[in-house]
Amino acid sequence: MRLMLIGNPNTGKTTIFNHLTGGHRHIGNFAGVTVEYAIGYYGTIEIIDLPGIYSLEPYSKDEAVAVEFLKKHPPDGIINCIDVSNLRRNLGLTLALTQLQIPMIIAAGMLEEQQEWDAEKLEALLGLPVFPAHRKNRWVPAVMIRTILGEIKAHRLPPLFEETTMAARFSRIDQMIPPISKNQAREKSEKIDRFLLHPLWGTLFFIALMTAAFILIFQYLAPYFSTPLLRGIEGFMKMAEALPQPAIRAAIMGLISGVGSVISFLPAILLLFLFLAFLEDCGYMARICYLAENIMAVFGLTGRSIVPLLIGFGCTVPAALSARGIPAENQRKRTLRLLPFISCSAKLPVFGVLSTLLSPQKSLLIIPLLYLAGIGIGLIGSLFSIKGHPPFLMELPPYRMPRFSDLAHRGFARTSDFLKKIFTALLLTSVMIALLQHFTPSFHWTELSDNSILAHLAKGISPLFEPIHLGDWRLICALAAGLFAKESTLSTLAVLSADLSVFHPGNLLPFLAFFLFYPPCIATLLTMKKESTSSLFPLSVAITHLLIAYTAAFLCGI
Amino acid sequence: MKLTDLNVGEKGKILQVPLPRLQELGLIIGTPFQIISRGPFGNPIEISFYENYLLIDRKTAMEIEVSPCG
Repeated sequence: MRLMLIGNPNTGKTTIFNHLTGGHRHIGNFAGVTVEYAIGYYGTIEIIDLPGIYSLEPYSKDEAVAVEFLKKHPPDGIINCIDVSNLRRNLGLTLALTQLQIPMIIAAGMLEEQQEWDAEKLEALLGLPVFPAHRKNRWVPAVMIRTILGEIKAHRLPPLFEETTMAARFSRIDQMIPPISKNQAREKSEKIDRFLLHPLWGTLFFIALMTAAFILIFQYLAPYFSTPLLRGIEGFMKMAEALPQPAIRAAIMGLISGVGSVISFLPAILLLFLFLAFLEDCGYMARICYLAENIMAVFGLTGRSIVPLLIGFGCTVPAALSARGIPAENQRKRTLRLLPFISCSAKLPVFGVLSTLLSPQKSLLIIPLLYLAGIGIGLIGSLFSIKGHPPFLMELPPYRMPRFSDLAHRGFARTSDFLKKIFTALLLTSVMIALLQHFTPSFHWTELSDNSILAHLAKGISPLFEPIHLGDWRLICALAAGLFAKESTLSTLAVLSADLSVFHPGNLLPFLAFFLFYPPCIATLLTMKKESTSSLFPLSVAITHLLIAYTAAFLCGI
Repeated sequence: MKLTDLNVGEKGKILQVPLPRLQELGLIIGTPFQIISRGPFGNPIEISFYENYLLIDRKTAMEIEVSPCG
């Protein structure tokens, strides 16, 4: 038995899904796109949460895949989730769904915001069972399941509305329901928007909010959680170093450093996901897009790109994940492409140490210049890639107070989905690099890093780096370590050249330039592979950045 | 007359819809609407119709044929 939750976006489908299934779910991917569907169980009944759609002949590719899935695997029953505070638009899909002639019930959310409608009135209007699924009031999953099972057992099919186009459906709906007056929530939202959507005050508020959230998350909250965790990791590392068998020792040290690199950005990711979920649920996300649309359009991006770009200053991994909300594929990819140009927080320590080395007095000036150079080159790049600007259409939902349980649910679910997908690859590469670091080419354990396979590899490719003054194998090793996590560049340098005497005036600036532009870390590339659903995409990102970094370092070395 | 020709606060009726997406969202011929606000530099345009509030970029809005009323 299979039931499907179908409805417009933002109708509380996922909340209903979580309530029905107890939140246990696994994620399915549609081939070729980033949209996902969730599968959960109520007893033995399979429940599928389909992504939000507006019609059965959708215009966006992501929605088209969802509709195709629905038509290929028709469920035994449909739970059509509607938002009664936006009844007219929601009924457009309801009328279309009746043509599938599958037993169906209506799960009506936001009924409490409406004076004009109640479940009985809606039942009389549609000829379908209507189940009130209030946000605030508790409803019983068993009763909803019994209602839809009743329809399926009785082979009751929904009344057929025969209109074949959305335009015809909406003109039918306009005859069925009286014109809707603005409700209170709407009027309040309009008042708030007079300030928050004001070109000047609204923009200032946005900048202030983002700066505050950013400082709070990356300066205070995330380190608060990750520092003790990382200290624990260090303890494990010490224990691993005492292991007798060299191969096992190296592998376990690699595993631990892999776990460590995940843990270093895990709290930040979780907090950012919670913050994003809050922005989405309270309705402010749509306002951000409104404010940013103009400036972003210049670079072939959309208002929604602003969120990933800002998160990119913290960590590129969650930034790439948050690009998912961008509906047009070319704008999503353009946003992803721009992200590595935004220096993540892990690059900052390297900038700090090396700019002080470059010029102790002017280091505070050099760091912002590095950031600007990165963004500048990235934006110039996106100017060249603009081909057509897809129409920007977006609904402005009313402001609502989000429920913490919804936010926590989504924040944790997104974080764990993400971890599942990148963890294995990240651990494997960490183990591999540890083995390369600790073994000589004749497979003997070495503590001296200049004897290791890694050092030999670095020395092997060093002629390639001579023209940009980075031929010293220690620099190459430090840069290679940065491919696994940018913060390891500094620690590797500290191991290989404790007094940083590897640097001299001739190679300092080329190194900074190369470090600024060279490919993002493996975790980012893996995330990009997942978000673009193509292996070629991260590969082309890596190659582009290698070329830019090489050129920049070369120019700085002249 | 195009959607972009109306000022903030003015009301109108839709005469012609250029994109299927707009129809999916419930904007059809004859739908009464009001201009609520315009973003920085007049883009995007926020309109309300029935209980919907919709943002439309200026380029798309220039293709929407409307007649003013009220």
